Amino acid sequence: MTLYRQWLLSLRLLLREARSGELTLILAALLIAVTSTTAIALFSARLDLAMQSRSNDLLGADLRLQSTTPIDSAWTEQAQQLGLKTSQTLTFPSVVLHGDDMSLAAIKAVDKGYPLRGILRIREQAADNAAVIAAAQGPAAGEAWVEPRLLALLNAQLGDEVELGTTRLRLSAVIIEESDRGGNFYNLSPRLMMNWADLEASGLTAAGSRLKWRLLLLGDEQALAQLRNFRDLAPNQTFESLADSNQAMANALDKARRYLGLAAMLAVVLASVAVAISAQRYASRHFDISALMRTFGLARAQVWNIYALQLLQLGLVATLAGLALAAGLQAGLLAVLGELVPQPLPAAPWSAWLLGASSGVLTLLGFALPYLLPLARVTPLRVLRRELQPVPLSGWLITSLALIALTLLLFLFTHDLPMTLGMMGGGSLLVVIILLVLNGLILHLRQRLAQHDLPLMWRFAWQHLSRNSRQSAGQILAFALTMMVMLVIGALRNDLLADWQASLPDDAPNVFAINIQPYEVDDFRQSLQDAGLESQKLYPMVPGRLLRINDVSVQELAVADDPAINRDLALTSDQQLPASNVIEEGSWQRLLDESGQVSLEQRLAGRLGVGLGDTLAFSAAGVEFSAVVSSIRSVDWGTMTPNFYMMFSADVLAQLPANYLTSFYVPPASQAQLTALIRQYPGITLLDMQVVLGQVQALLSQVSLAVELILLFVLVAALLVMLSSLVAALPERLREGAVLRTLGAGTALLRRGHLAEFALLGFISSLLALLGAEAICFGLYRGLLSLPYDGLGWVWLWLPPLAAVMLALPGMWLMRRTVTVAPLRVLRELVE
Amino acid sequence: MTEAGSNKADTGFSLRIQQLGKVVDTGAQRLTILQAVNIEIKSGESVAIVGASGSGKSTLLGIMAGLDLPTTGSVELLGHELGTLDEDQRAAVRAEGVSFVFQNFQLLPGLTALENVMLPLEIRGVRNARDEARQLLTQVGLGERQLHYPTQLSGGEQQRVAIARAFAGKPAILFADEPTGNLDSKTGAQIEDLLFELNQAGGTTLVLVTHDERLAQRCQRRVHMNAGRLEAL
Ligand SMILES: Nc1ncnc2c1ncn2[C@@H]1O[C@H](COP(=O)(O)OP(=O)(O)OP(=O)(O)O)[C@@H](O)[C@H]1O
Ligand SMILES: [Mg+2]
Repeated sequence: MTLYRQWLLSLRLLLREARSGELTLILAALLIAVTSTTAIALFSARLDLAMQSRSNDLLGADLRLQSTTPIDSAWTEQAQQLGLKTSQTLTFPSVVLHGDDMSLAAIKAVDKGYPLRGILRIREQAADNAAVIAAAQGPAAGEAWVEPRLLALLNAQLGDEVELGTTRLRLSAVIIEESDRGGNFYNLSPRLMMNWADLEASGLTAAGSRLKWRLLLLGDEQALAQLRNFRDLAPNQTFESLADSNQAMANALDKARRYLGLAAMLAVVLASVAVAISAQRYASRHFDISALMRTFGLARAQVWNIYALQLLQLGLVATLAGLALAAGLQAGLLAVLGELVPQPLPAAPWSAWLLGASSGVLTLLGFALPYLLPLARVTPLRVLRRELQPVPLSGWLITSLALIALTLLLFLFTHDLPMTLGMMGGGSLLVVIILLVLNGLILHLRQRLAQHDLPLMWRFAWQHLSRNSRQSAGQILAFALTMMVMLVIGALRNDLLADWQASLPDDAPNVFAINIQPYEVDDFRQSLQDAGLESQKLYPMVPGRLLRINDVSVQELAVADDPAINRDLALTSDQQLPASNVIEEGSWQRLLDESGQVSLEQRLAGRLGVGLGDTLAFSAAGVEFSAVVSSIRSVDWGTMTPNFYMMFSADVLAQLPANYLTSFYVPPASQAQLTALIRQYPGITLLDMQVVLGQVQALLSQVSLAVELILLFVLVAALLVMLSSLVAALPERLREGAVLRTLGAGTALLRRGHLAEFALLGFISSLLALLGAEAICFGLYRGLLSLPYDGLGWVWLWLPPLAAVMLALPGMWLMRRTVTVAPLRVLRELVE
Repeated sequence: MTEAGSNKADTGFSLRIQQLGKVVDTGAQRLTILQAVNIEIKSGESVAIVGASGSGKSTLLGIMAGLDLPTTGSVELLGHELGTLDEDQRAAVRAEGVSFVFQNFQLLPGLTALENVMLPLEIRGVRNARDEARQLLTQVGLGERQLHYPTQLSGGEQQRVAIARAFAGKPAILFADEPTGNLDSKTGAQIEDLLFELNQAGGTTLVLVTHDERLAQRCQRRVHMNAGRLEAL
């Protein structure tokens, strides 16, 4: 028999089997595995490609000098002397007004040199089909370009004028692409780009926090290197090269991708289990045909070829269908994430498709093949002696093959061997432990319940669940885990911010005012009073960096990566301990009595390993100074009042140029007063927390929706695991149903028994999921966020019945024949 | 007078067995199942093997058909000395002209009646497998039931499909292990008729194991199995 004929035969057999529904589950499971992994692979690859292809454009320069204070013009002059092209930008958040509408925007002022490099594309008409133009320069003086999002937020159209500080700018174009915009994932506010020349008139240039000056530099490497050595940088200044910026970007994207990847892996693991169960059943149902084919005269190798070819074709079909579905799913992900993903995305490379496809192959090799191998070893003598079964591969071999396949897959996805091994090792250990506990619980319960007379239907249900206690434990774990993750994500998405806002008193401050210059302090306080707005204290604030702890540079300490080290901290001073602060160690009084003292926030102190009496050295506004830790405070960060990591004795702040900040409550009826304030003090940045929170909320929703989309696949995979084990147990179930019915059990009783069984499975899983989710949320809220947590509430009412129905419907559908088919018929079929 | 050797020799015999013995190791003890069995079956002949349960009939049948190897002695099937062949070569001998009908081992549940009959033809690479299978099914009286699955057929109908399958490809020799064992006597008789009809039409050698006295009587020759030894009747 030639290979071609073997292939024809394998195809024919496969088609026949497919028609009889034998392969549906295996196909569905493979499909889930391929679809979820491919979708994530495509998505990540496209993001990567976008990052790489534009990495040159991301900086908008070859080198960039970044500073939180205006950059000395000497830098520019020196650069130009060295033959470098330069351009300056300033970015900061500010409120933009359009009539009564206002929105926070990420302002970027650019000079005439911009863009030095990179892509700036705009549309001069808002219509989607209007021509996209590559801009050679930023907006002209008096004009502003905005992201389409901002138009919507302001109810504005191109041609309208908006107010920014004390100037008015005409909206003349929408920005389609701005390659040096920076990590889109974390940029919440929409962009408004303006001309450098309008800065002065806007009154927004005063020094303050959250302002970033950038000197963009373009030219040959030598000149750039020379410029780097031109002067020592101030602590608040850094050079950014391509490598740094790529790194930051890659890190940000990596996080988002890792969550999606994890969810996809969960789907693959579950789908693989379903494949294994289905394959095992498939194999045992094909012992006969293998034996028969041998009696028809096929050699062992030929039988093996036929099954291998079948497997190949099965994999091919599932993979092709999976790839097609994945293209759709990935488009869905992109749609959900919207503008968070850089636009436009390049097409996915073929390697991403290949990676996705490999998940199908690996799943088959690792999970189906071990069960199919023995098929070729069935002895033809089985036709005379049915009890002759091929020796299955050893359990260890099967487990190792599966683990190897999963490890390989995980590695292909993460390219991170330690993480892969850690997850495989830790993950399998955790799963085994949970399974053992669940299994033990079920067995324990079985013993306890055996002494009670449950109603018959519940007894049937419980017997089924507890008889295969390990299998049941696995199913419960799969469902519970998936639902738990979905619950936690859902809770965070919907409630986190709402809960926090609800936890605030009604008149909690909702507007932060920052960058109040010292000369404005009294006027501003007066204006607030006149407007009937009650404000918190005005605190002086200087952005500064921690340089050394006890004379050791923080860069050399283990804490060098701590976020508090790598950015400006808000340094302040006050006579009074803020209301939401509590002294935990040391004394507040020393801050008032002695000089050179600092009070440190408790958690930061813990992270930095700093205690009372330690000396901290700082740099702020070009001044270096140090202070001794004299108290440690706990701070309630969730109060919307100004809070600080570092509070100094008055002498320390006195030597520094501070500006002031405060927060206050604007009742809904007083929005007009707020607008008036914005107009009156253009230099002061007023952050409407309502708006900021709204933007955070939107981001959170988008990202979690994307993850939940993938989790839906995980849930389907878990369902497939249950269905495939049900199918595997079908003959036993049929026999049992038939026997029970010959004993006089009615169909209604059997149906109720099935209903009870699957409902119980769903019920238990959902309860476990709820418990787990409550615990995680509680930890997150109380531990991490210090928020009151009041539980998942209504979910406890609707999830268990929903889960019960979700499992009972397909379960009962699968079991329908055990209830309806004539008992005689079943018994006869089983005799064969 | 025997021509031993793996080359095919046309001796006019379908099957020749000499001094055949089968001993199995069951862990603790060695069990002798067959002992000094000799038999020669001519082409086209029909032979019934009868005997008590557990006497070794099925074991002998399996060895005759090359599904298992004897411990001692020689088996020459369709001119091939089986002892000198490996499993795959024996499979090739089966492909050439051996087929089976069994008591319980009947049809593949996932395939229709037609597909079940087609299967051995397809494996042997017969060109119009479908037509030939259709014809065979019609011949056994199931022309109307071709697309039914085994579970939709009665036991007798299933056995008829099995016979159609066994005769597909015109085998030189057919082994049957209690082909009527699960059937009532009327249906059993129909199956017998069918077997002998096809046996005569194609000149197929028939080797049957049976408890059914009437079926044994219809064979040209009967041998009796007694505790692993063969006695002519
Ligand atoms: N591989 C084996 N290992 C152990 N015992 C075996 C083996 N093969 C057959 N036997 C035993 O050999 C004896 C003969 O078995 P065989 O199936 O040939 O009997 P039979 O004549 O076909 O019986 P029946 O009429 O009940 O089918 C039985 O006792 C059986 O248990
Ligand atoms: Mg027998």
